[in-house]
Amino acid sequence: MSASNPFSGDNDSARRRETAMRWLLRLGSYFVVFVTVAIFAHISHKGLPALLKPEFPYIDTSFLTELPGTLHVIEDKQGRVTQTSPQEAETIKKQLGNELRSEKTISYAGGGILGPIVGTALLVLVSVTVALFLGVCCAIYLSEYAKKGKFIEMVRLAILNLAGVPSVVFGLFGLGAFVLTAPVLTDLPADRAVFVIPLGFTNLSFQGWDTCVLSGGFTLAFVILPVIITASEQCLQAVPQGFRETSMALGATRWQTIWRSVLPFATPGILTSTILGIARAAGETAPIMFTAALAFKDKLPWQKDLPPLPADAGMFAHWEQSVQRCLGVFTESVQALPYHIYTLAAKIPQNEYSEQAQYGSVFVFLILVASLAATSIWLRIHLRKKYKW
Amino acid sequence: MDFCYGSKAALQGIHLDVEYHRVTALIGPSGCGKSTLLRCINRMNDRVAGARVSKGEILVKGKNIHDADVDLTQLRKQVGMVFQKSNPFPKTIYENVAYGLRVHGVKDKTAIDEAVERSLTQAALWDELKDRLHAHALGLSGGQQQRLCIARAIATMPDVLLMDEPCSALDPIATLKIEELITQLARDYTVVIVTHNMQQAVRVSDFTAFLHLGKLVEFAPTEELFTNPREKLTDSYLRGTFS
Amino acid sequence: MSPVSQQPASRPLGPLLLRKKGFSLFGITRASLVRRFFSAMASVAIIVLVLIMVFLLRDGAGFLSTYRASLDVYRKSGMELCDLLEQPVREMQDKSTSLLRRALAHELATLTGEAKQRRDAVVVLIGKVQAMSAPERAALEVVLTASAPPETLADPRDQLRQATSRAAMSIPIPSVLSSREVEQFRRELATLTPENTELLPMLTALEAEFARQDTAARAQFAPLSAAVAACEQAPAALYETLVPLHKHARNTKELAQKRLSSRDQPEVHFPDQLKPILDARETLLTRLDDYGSRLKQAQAALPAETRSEEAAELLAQVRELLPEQAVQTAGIREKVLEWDGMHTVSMFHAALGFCFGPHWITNSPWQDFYGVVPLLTGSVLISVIALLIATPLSIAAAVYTSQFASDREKEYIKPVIEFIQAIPSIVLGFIGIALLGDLIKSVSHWPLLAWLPGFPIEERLNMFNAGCLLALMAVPTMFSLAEDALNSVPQSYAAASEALGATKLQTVFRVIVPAALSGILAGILLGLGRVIGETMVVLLVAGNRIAIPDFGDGLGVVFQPAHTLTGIIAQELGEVSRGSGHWQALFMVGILLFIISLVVNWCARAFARRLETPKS
Repeated sequence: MSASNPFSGDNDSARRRETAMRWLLRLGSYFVVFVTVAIFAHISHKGLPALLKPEFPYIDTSFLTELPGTLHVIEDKQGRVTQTSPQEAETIKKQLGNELRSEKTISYAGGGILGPIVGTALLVLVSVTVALFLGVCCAIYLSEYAKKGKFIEMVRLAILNLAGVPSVVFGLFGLGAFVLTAPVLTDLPADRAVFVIPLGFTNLSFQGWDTCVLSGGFTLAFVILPVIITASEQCLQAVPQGFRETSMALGATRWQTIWRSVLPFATPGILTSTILGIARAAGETAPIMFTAALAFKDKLPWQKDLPPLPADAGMFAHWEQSVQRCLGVFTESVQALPYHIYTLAAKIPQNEYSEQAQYGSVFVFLILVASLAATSIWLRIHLRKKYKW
Repeated sequence: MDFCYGSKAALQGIHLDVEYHRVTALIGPSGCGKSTLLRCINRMNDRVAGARVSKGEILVKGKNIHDADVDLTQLRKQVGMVFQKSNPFPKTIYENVAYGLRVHGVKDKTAIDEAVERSLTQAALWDELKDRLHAHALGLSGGQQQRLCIARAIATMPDVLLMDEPCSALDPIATLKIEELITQLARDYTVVIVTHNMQQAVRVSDFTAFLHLGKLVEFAPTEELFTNPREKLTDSYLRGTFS
Repeated sequence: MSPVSQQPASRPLGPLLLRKKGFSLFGITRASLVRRFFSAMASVAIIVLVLIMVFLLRDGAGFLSTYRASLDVYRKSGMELCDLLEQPVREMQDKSTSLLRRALAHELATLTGEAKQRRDAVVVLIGKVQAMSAPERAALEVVLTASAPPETLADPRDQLRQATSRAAMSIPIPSVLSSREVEQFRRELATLTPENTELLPMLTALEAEFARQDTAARAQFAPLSAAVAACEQAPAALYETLVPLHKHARNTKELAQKRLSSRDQPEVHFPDQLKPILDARETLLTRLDDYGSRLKQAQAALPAETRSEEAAELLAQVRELLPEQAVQTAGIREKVLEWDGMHTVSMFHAALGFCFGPHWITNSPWQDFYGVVPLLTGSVLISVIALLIATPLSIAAAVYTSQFASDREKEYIKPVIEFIQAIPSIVLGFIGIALLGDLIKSVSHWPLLAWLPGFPIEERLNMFNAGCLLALMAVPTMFSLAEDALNSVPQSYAAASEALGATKLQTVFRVIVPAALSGILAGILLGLGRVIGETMVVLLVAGNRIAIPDFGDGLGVVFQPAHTLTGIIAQELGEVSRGSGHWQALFMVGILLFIISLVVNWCARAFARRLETPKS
């Protein structure tokens, strides 16, 4: 054989090793894929029932539209178990009379998760607004104005390092900077103010914003700032140089060029990357632990107790109060979805009754964040096809 | 032999006998299929999806290289190749030359040392580099890099050496050195060289094949082809009336 | 178009195009104003980085002096002296007595083993029979608690009796009981109903038998049990002497704290306060010597012969340990003698105490210690576990996807791995609590895997669990960087390698992976940065035990719970008062984390830069 075939393969074992190695690599990749899918499937399997009910139309939205509360588990002597809210627990107990065998209460696990969802939405709103403004401005400078030099290198280094700072350190920073030091306008400065600048009609007091949506939102803004800057800069760089040159050749100033012939083409990309920023901001827990989040709150942010207006209050008083309500949304602590999950996971016992609230919240949270991320990825692919210069 | 990339035919009806221990040059205008033909000989075209020999056969040492029992690694061990652009690995000079031996399972240190010395000597690099064998290969000059690639190719003692425009990226002096090298190598190896440069073909080759639009126009001893071409097309190409 | 063209085109364009002198402020033109605005915005990143440092330092910088002052009081009040004596002695005692107790238990078991086995078997069987009749039992209980009329009780009672006797007859009884006993026991088991409140006679008999044998055995092993007792009692006198000193020292500390909190309090004169303790030093040293000689006596009293091999082994260990402890005792003596209560604690000492202190103890009635070592060990161990798991997986996935996978495989492998990045860390932490913890624990109880170090594990929440989840978090970072690096290796390398007859696999592992190595390393380092800074997963899953893990059981150490740098901040910051030493300590931990992240980032960048340098 070898006489007629100078190129005969000499060893099967090498080939077998080759195949084995290839399968090993494939196994590694598929293991990661499998674990991811398994986690997603497990959460869906256990969490979906929180959104379903046995009767038509099978979808139960109460989990999404109720505030969290204490869960009462009532067992009667036939061993039938009812899970219910505090108010209904009373009536059920009365009905049962001495048929009642036992009652258990589990904090946080009852009701729905409307409060945390609203809180997370507010935090994301503040953080994305701040981060988008700062981030896009920074990206414009980096991509349009900057010349090579020390300053730019420092900025880039800072952005890279900022991206690597642990989120809990951002939490400490937010606590020190926004909760305890940020300036407020007030007539009566607090004792803890770092310093006070009198402005005549009022004082600018560096006493902090306390734990509230603003503090949390600003902290989160700096967490996602590197993401937004990097992505925005890429989008700006992707606009062909020709657009700028044409505009400049027509005598437009640099700013006019940026405003009219660069930004409009970069906007879709920037917005896409913003969605990724939203997903990131919504998913972070550590930065909001000390700056915004509350374990439990039985009201929505705008349902603040304000002194009732006298019956003869004028239009202006009503208007003032509603403005106060609106602004008050940002100066209060809120429940946030990730922190709510932390509370559910760490502070209450694991049992069959708490499971639904736990997995339900995790499922809703994962779906929210994952769909944001997926939208962003999809849009990016879509936009890339659409805008090809 | 016919060859196509997917449905696009690249080579048609090529019939070529390459002489043992001689230099054969393939010339022709750009896109005529010289490189494709060359890459067929050690089946480098297998790397391109959809590329296949659609008709005919390529015999190396009397064996059709597309037969099922041909081991690709053995074939390529015996049919070495040098590329247009020098592409040493980002390793040391020594490791570059030893690479071919190592992948074919040679573990004996002294055998590798000998082979490295022999191939570097044949590639006329030994005297220049013997003191810095463990320096990084990417630190060499362009001509040295290309000769290193040749040394790497001949380290496994192939019978056939394929060269795909080995001098196109080099300056004239480096080109001259490589050409001298090729003439010397022809003593031990069967060399097939693709070139753009007709003077080079004249200088180094014993036989020349002229290809045009995927067809073999003329194949003859170099002297004969350049002084007295049989085909009109060859003649006009050599005169430079088209390119 | 038509309306436009109909308009009379008349206004000359020239003046319109000539730009008027633009708006300017303090001599700065609008263009440069815009430019300055943007450059100010760009510096936000720098400013934030500086601000983070500033705010961390503002709250953390005071730590060293606070901690120094606290340690100073700790020393000058004499508490340090007490700890210097007591802690090593307690540690030694724990070691030697536990060994001795185990030895004694083994010895006793040689004589009483059978009786104990018989008793335990009976107890287990009773439990089993009760479990088998559980449904009937529950039904009867429902009727009983409902205080129903007695005639309705007969039926469920009867059913329970039947179920019990069925269970008693069918249950397999182990061979430790003789056949006669088995018969008797089955009869007794059948009477196991709620009305029968007495212990089964069989159990009582076996219990008595065991107690009798136990006493006899103890008598037989009198020398050993005496040695155990002697060893346990050895430091009693020392402890007793320490009690009033403890009280006095704590009192001094309280006075000092009062003085710190308000100027009205009288100043504490430490030398006077310390005097009683210093006076007692001699007594303490005598007690310590006494302890040492007692240890020697105990060693001499150890019986030379044992009935069981295990006990012999344990006693041999004790014999080795006790002389070591005697040497240690001498060391303690020296330290106590050297101790200078009036030597003021230096800043350097406080800094050392923070960086290398082995205890993180807070809210203690005695003394708070802020040593970062237990936290750092936890963080580092968890990161190492995570990297060891994540690196091979992500590199395998990256190599496979970039070199071997078909386009269709790539289409789903890549998005799925990138999707992991979108899973919030809190969700993974929850998975660790709700799913992975139990999974690992139950797997570790498989008899097949008992040979693995640390198996079977006790703690559901441990470092390994956290490491697995963090590995998953690090995979996407490492994967995408490694894949980019592999993809950016020039095609010509692969071509050259294959032309030399290398197989695909040889090409990949000998040429492509080495060429992409710096990129892969950068990816691993960035993954490390991500892992070490991660908070929620470790807070929920790592088990939160503040102690340096015990490296004694080799690799099994990974199954111990631990606390981490990030976790401690998240857990404790919410509960401390602002500005206290504890608060400052937590900010110091934050500074440490910040520095670690900067260093890791810097290294990753150094690797990435090597990748970028053009190769020519």
